[in-house]
Amino acid sequence: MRDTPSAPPYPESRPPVAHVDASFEPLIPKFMTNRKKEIATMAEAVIHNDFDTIRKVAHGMKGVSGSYGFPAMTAAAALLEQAAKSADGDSINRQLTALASYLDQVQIVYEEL
Amino acid sequence: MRKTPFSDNQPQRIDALKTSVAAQKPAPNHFEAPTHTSIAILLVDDMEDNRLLITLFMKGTTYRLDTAENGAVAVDKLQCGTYDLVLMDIQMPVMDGYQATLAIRAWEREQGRVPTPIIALTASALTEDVEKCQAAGFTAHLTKPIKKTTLLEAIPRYAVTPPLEKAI
Repeated sequence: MRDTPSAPPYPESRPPVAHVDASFEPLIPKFMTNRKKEIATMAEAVIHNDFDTIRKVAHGMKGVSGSYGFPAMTAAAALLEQAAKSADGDSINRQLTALASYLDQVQIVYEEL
Repeated sequence: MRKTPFSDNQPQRIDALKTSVAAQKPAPNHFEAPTHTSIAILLVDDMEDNRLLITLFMKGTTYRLDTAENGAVAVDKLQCGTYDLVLMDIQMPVMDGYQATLAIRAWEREQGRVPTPIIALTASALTEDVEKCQAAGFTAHLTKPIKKTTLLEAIPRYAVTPPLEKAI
């Protein structure tokens, strides 16, 4: 039986797309920078089993990403928050990897919403 | 997980403040951009991105927006200034939204002041969270993600009408 490699979360051929309100465009560079900082904060916290920090940061990310128009990030942040409540380090690491990949690859389409 | 019936992101009134001026106002059928009403709003949120987004939402309106990065700063500002409405995040460092609202309500009672409407902005619509909001003295509850139209509709519905506007 042949092993089937698991697909990367966001294949290079099909980068994730976020449809964002055009009026938000000036705010997006800071938004993206802050989310990357939060991923770094959570990655550091999971090393120290600091699940409370991860829960709080993920909770904030869940709210702000939805407001800015990144539902995939909202879903991932919700999973992170839940994993932090369960003190599930493996799940947290998986979600952080997926989120970092998402932030690197996401294509932002500005639309008049 | 239990969800409240108002997870459709519409502002949900909490009936804790029966005496609020806003309680006597009928809900508008549609949103009309304000052209003359100057409502002073205090936005309390520890996340800069949320503050910037709501500031952007207010552009083109006549609302006056002040900000605070946590509940303790909000309590100080409420005690020193006059606001017609507070938009309050829940999870914040130093002092969270529940503690801040409890402190504001206690101070208002002590001073014999009319309660300032406080809308909770939360990322959770769980029944227990809404019940905690009610117990703390929030006027209404709005679930994140916050949409511009929903927020701008909620503001005139819940804000204390400034004295000048009452006379018109």
